[in-house]
Amino acid sequence: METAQEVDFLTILVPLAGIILIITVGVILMYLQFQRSIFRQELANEELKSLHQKQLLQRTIEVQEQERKRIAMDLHDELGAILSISRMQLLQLESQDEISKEDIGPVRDLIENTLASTRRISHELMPLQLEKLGLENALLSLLTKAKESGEIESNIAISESCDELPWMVELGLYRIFSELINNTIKHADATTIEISILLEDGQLFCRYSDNGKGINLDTSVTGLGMQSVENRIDALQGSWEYGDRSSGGFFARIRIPLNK
Amino acid sequence: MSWLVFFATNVIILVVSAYVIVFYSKLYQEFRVIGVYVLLALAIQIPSYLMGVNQMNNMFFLHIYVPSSFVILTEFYKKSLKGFINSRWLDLISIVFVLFSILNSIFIQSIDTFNSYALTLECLLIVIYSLSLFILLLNSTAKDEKRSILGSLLWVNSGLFIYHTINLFLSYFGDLLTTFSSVNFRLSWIMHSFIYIAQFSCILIGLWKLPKKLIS
Repeated sequence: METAQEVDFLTILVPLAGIILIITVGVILMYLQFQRSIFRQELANEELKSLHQKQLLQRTIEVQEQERKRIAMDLHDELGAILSISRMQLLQLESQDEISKEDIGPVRDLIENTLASTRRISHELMPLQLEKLGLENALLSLLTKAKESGEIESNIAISESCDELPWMVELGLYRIFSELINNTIKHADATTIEISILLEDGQLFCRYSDNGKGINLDTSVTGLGMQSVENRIDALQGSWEYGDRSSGGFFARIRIPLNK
Repeated sequence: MSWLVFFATNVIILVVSAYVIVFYSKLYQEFRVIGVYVLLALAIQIPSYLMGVNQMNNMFFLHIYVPSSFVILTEFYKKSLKGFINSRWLDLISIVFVLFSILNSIFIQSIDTFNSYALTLECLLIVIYSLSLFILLLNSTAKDEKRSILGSLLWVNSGLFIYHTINLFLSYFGDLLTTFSSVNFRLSWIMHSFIYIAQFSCILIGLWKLPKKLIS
């Protein structure tokens, strides 16, 4: 039998060093390959991010343009038309020798209509109820309108700590919920809407749901309304997720950090 | 003492195999491969244990186990490193290793002897793979990609790393140890059983820790 003395120390150490060297070289080669792949992936991610930002910007401009077009149409079709008729009636009155109370009545009606239209347009541009009564009442007003237009019952729960939210957050949330409610009325065929807003650990957790038809995720991605919601959430540095509820209907969960 | 260790080896392999059989269809891709590895170990362990108990030469099974387990583990690392490495390299290594293993069994270390060359090479390559996976998982991009299965991946990789590192030295020094006495040979097999238990314990924990969403 071979003895311990006969075992050459070098015959053990040299191959062992060789094994360690092979492992080291192997790991380094793998590491270099990883570095290249990670660099490529990070580059692709950055490009994707940049593309997403470009798309967001484009969508924001599209939404802005659409809003401008809508205001222009409202001004032209409602105010412009009524004011033109009023002008014509006033010209007629001017040509008359005597003006009775009955003659002034229609003109007054037209002016009152103009005032109502002005009020509606300005309300849509900047909700007065939001400024005067706060987010909860403004949302309640939206839900009341939803009930009037489509007999949709609603539940709203806002925690007391949400009483003094920053104005931009309140306005953003109002616009977001307004869009979601609008979508429910137009497309969902729903009978109930539920909204909850909770402030916890400096973050707003909002939930919106209805019991309607749910959402077609393929078409909603390109829908301007949903893009507008996404833009507003992005502007508030928040995040959101939406989809179909397991029990049927649509849901959206929004998280907005307040301490940024 | 030694019978207890060998008994524990069989118990752990049976437990992990049972877990794999029950949850196989619900396992994530990477872990299905590990499931196959576990089942292969069971398929080899049972007959080789029985032959060992009956004083029969069971080295033949090791000549099957080494190339098969290497191919399976390479597949595991191929799936785990997907997107970060060109998988063709791993396929090539796998093919070359199987060829080497077959040639080794035919011409160098016959099927009734301990195939230390193939085993050493297998351990060496698996150690490289496992260390590489550890290094990859230090990177935030890779970590984010594997976030949902990170814990399980680390446990399984740790098990494979521990087993193959120690087994590398056991198989490397195996010839040397057995030249001194048969006691050393037996001790090296007990040591091997310990790391075998450690490996399958880590694999079991890894599978156990898989997110419930993935097992649903």
